[in-house]
Amino acid sequence: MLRPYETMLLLDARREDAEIEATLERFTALVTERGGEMSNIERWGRRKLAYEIGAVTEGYYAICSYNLESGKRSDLEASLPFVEGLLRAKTVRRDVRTRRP
Amino acid sequence: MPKKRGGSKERSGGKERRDGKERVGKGGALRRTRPKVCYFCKEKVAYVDYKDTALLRRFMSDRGKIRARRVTGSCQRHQRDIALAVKNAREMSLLSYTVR
Repeated sequence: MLRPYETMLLLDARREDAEIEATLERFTALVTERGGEMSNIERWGRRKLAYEIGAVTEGYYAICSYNLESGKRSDLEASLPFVEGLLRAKTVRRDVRTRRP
Repeated sequence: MPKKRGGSKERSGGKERRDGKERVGKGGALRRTRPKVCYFCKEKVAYVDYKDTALLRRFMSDRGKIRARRVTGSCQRHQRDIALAVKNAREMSLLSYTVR
């Protein structure tokens, strides 16, 4: 079943802008490789983290909206630890905006 | 006989207070209280977004802890959603687990 998802990516802000763009492209590629379709990437940009992650105090936030076959989600998430410069990622469904049954 | 901490203990169960009618205040006098209304029900918010940290902070203490339902007046459903949203936001380092 094709579902709308939204993934927040938290990247290391110490990296160059070009590197950050490359990481976002890498993520887009991971989605499209699995038959997904990226619809929008919302860039929050650099923000101070609420707490340090390792030695990182500042992160680059981006929110990616896309449609993906629901069965591919776990596969996509499993591939994320291998993305360079990615500190955290969180995926939520965009269609669960109304009350759960 | 000294009463414990203002003695705001209820006289006859929680029923009266939930209606917002009467509550035993300082010195044991009955006090009128306003019933608390769940913010998300009132504003008809369908989805508690973990990205909206400014809003979630209203449901947290200065220490970064999630405020209890009896403090904020949230309904049971939305309290669950708030808790989940705060925890999600913490994972993404949007909110801190603790403050000092």
